[in-house]
Amino acid sequence: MVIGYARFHDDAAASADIGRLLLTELSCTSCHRPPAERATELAPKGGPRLAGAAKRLQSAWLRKFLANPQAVKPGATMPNVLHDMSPPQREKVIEALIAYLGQADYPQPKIVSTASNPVAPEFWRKGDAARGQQHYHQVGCVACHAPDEKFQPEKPKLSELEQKIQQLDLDPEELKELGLSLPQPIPSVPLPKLAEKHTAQSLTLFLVNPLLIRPAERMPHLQLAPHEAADIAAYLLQGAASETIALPSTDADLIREGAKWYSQLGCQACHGTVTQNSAPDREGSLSQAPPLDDLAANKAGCLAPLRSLSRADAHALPHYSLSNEQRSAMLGVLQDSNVAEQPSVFSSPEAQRMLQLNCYACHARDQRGGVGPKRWQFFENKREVDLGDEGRLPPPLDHVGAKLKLQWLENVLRGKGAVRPHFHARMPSFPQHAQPLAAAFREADKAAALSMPPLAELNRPQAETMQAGRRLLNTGCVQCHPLWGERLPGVMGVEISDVDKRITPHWFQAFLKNPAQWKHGTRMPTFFPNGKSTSPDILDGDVERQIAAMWTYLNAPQGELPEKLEQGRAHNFVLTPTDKPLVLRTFMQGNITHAIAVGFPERLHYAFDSEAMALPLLWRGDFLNAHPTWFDRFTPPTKPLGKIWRLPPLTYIGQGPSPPLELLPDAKITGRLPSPVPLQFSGYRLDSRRVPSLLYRVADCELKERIAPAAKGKGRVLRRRIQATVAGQRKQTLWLAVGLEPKRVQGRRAELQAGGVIESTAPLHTGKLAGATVVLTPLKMEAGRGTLEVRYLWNE
Amino acid sequence: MERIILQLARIFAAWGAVALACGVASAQANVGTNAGTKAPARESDFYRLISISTSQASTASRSKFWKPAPNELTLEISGMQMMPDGRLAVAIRKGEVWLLNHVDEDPPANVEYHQFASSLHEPLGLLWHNDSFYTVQRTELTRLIDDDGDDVCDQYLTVAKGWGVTGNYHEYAYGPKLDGRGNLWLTLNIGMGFKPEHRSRIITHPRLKLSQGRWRGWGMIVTPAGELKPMCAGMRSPSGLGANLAGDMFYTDQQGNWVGTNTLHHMRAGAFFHHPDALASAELPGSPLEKIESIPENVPFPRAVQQLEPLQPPAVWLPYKRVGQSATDIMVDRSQGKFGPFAGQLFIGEFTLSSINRVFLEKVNGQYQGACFPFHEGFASAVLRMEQGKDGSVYVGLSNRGWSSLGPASYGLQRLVWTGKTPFEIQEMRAKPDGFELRFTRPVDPATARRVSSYSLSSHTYVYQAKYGSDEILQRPLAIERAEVSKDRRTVRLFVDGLRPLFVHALAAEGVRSVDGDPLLHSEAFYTLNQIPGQPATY
Repeated sequence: MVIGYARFHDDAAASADIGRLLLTELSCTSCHRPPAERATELAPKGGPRLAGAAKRLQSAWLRKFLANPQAVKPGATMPNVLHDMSPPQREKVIEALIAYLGQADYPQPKIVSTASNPVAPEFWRKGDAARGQQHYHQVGCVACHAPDEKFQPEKPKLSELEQKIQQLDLDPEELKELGLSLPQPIPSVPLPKLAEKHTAQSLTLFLVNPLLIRPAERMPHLQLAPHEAADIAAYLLQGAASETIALPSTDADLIREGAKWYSQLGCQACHGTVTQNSAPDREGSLSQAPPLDDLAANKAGCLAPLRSLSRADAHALPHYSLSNEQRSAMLGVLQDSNVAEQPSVFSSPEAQRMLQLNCYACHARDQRGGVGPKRWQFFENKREVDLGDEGRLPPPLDHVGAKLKLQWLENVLRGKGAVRPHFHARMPSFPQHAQPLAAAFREADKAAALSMPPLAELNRPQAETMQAGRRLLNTGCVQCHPLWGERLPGVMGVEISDVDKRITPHWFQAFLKNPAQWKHGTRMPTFFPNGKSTSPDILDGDVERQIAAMWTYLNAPQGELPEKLEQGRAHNFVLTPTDKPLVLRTFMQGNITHAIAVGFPERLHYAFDSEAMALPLLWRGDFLNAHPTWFDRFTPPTKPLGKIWRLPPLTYIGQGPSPPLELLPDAKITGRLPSPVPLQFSGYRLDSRRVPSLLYRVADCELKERIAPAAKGKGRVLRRRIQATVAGQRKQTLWLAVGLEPKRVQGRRAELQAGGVIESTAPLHTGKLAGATVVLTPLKMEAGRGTLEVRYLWNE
Repeated sequence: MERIILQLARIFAAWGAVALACGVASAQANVGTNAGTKAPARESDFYRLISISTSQASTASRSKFWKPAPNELTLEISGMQMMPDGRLAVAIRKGEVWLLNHVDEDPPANVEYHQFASSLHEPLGLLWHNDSFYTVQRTELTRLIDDDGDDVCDQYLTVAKGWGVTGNYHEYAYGPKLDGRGNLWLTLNIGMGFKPEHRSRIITHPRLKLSQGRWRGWGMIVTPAGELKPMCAGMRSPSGLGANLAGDMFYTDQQGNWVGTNTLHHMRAGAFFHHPDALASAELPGSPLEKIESIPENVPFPRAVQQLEPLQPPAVWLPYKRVGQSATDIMVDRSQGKFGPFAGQLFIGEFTLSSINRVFLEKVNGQYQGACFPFHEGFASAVLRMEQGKDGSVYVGLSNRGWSSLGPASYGLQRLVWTGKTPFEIQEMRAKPDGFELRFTRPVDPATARRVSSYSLSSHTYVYQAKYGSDEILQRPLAIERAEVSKDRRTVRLFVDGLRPLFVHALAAEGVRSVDGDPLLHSEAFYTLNQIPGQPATY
């Protein structure tokens, strides 16, 4: 069966050259030389690689298949080449061929389980038929092969056309009178009885990379993970396949006999030699068989009407089971005048390749093809969000040569351009066809591309253009499209940050101006109704310049996100204390690896260093983004989001009656400083208002420190209260560095150069710590106890 | 009453099996091949996997800006503890502790989630001890106390800290787990890929010039008196620890530089396991390690053991891919048979392949050694934590963020329940002076078990090297001279010539059948033969 022929041969507009498809797909031109100028157009499909075929396929199946391909695999394009032999001779030849096909090793995908792409040991044994059934119906197999009648998708979907017809609520006759009809189901590529042919292992390995066996890419590479292939194989085999392959005979004479027949029967012309990665060398067969033009002129062989050949002639030929209609279709394309006079919709090179590769099974172009009825219900997006057919069916390919950049189009055809990760269905890869098919699309859509004007010149400063682009994206695009991996809640669509890698600028402009003109039935709205911008305040409301600004913004390295996305991102991971303080233990800016950050609803926050028992950071404004701490593998330090008030990196810098006036003169205040006193952190306690009290030891003292906004501080005062005890009812004094770089220190009040005021319940002094001037204050214990309160006042 | 229900359950299970067999037989009759043979048993015939909660993150597991599934508790389970009242407490990687009620219902339709604690710095363990929770955060071992009984933590008290935290992402800290002497154990990853800002907290061995944060690559204990003590060194990525029934503490390590494949080690004072970076702390006060002057390199591991006195071989090597790619948690089966025929054995979580492996241990010459076996695969994501419920079923905590795993989910909680059917498995594999003894879970078919061609055996080891991982080297097939079946048909003695001490002995018993004709559910076993019984100790 040639699927393109089966689907389109009734299409009146196709009749002129649909026969050409039979000539290539039945590989007629493997043996019959086409006219030189039509060699590319009529290049034969060729057959699967047969190296080691009898090691991966059951000999019993091969026997039946060779004896009569059509009987075993209805629709096989392999002709019956043994039909004129007597049954005993046929059997002998088949045994010899199988022995011959069992010698070399068959090509296998290299599957290595790595840390980033793990594969279970003996994964082919571990397929799950139920999961396989899901995959089979979801990833795209059913675009070509028949869906399982027993399998019902969770929510059967109708196409938009079906929905509309259903809404009319008419019976079929009434519909007919209105001239409406539902599209007719399209034929499927039949599957043989796979359990007789394969083991789970051989079918799984085939599915992982069919191109190793079938280089013609008619069965494309669907980029299945090994375990997915195993699941699909388990489903297709239904537990009925044998676990092992019965190995063929290794009798040397038999193998020689097989080699002789392989050559004599012309197998090589389609299948190549039985070595891995072989390509057929056709010169031998081409020189033996009559050229195609001769056949056409004489209406000979397959081009002759059925029953017009003599029995003897018929016997000598490979048998393809062709109908008269097919015969005359082939003859038609070889009579040049016929084609030239009535070019069909499939005449162009890209259309012919689409027919050969059955791209039409998924994609429509020029009103032909697309996923067929009774199949589109299986195409769904992963979150079952209703985005219409556009959000679940493979896209139409109209103007694709004008839309996509040539390199990207090639990538897509190589299966490396998946931009719809929300689809279950996958774009398969066609590596051999990628370059010529992309070029054919480009050529075919040249006129459309030329009709699209280029982007406007902007001649504005880059920053201004970027802001304009950012604002324009904010008004519309981000409602439906992710950008740099960021998306609004519920958004599922095509990522647009890479648009210049994929899309041509002229198509971008044309599409934005009028989406429906370039993509029929799209849900993409226009933001320029009647050619006018909905944002007249940006770039004077000039549509072309606005589009050019969006293009510039999207193609620059990732910059500031559009406001809505920025807000959405903050909403997810920025901690905002509302009714009680929030605590985050984290790595923090300033090389603080033991930070305990505490944020308050008053928008005053601090970070305590539970390694240095210090209070190095205060800030005011937003609190913290927790994402680096919660979810980033590389745990970058988190940063205060508000305006920082920096304090000394050590708090406790001495003990005893007199203040330490100069400490660590050779160190830098910005670096890590060794503590001059022993320290030990003991944890924290939350009070009834969930404010933490930090517990720690400094030298021989037990301390408890509570830091919180002052009750009447109007959000401008942070109060730090430290209670200390020392064993033995003793006297003890600890010296605290509580501020940096004072402007003026007077009694218990210090004004800082950077703004802000520090007040203490004890006298303030100045001293030097690691080259910086610091504000000092004592914590005095009498009879084993003492208390100190330090207040930080923001100027405004 | 319970017994009657159990028996009924077994009868139903048997019916299920009969129905299944018929179904398969008729399917095979249709195609006319293989009629008469049974469908191969599957793990799911013996253990049922229940998903309590599994989620797919919004991004891929290694995404730079990883995001959880929207609007839900991010159940990346990093610690688990069954509570005395039947609730399951879980720690999650973003730093919270949650109490889960009704997790044992089937289907788990009424699970309740209650937040107990927050703002922890990547806790990677959870233990209920002294009426409170203990967890190891990146920077400390913390005790979580609820003062007023409202199931919300009020005190986050530091039990122990003092190991180096440079800020390097790879410095994970795991635990605690409780040993038989009341010690709390924790293990510390080494850092990898240091940045300039990490340097101020890095220390260097005076002679070996190896650098790491303090006690990085060490196992430490906190004694009942509250003292933090370094115990053993040489760990790379010790993401799982756990005690056996005797109360001895083990940890798993993950393949990488200096670690040929994943391993299981017995932690004890003064032991050095493999990764030299840990020796940066070898001469700090409190180190129990003997002086090490040089590290052998690029030698077979058995030779390294001979050359480096403190080097202690793993109790069990877990051959790469065949028994996992990334070992995690250790759970001893305390159910006394409620979890199937493996009471007292260790179960080892597996990250990359989303599975669980099994270990049988014995002591030879006073040292632990034993065999590992594949046990169960197909979890929804990377298996990071395991915890056994009172009914013997095992809760499995999942999270694959930062690395990759099989399975459709990114994180979640599943539960593995024994169906009551006994799989045909190699239950135990013991070393003998002249071979091995295999104990099977069900009686064997004597004909196949006696046939030496039913088995294949080979031995190999690994290269001790700074390079990442190691091939299996010095591989040698071993001839099985004789296989003897015991009277009860549960035990087979294999007589083997050419055992090699300190080598892994890989057995495949493909040909052995049970009396019912079943092949083994897992036919492979890997015995780490550090010591041969009856011969002098090798280390």
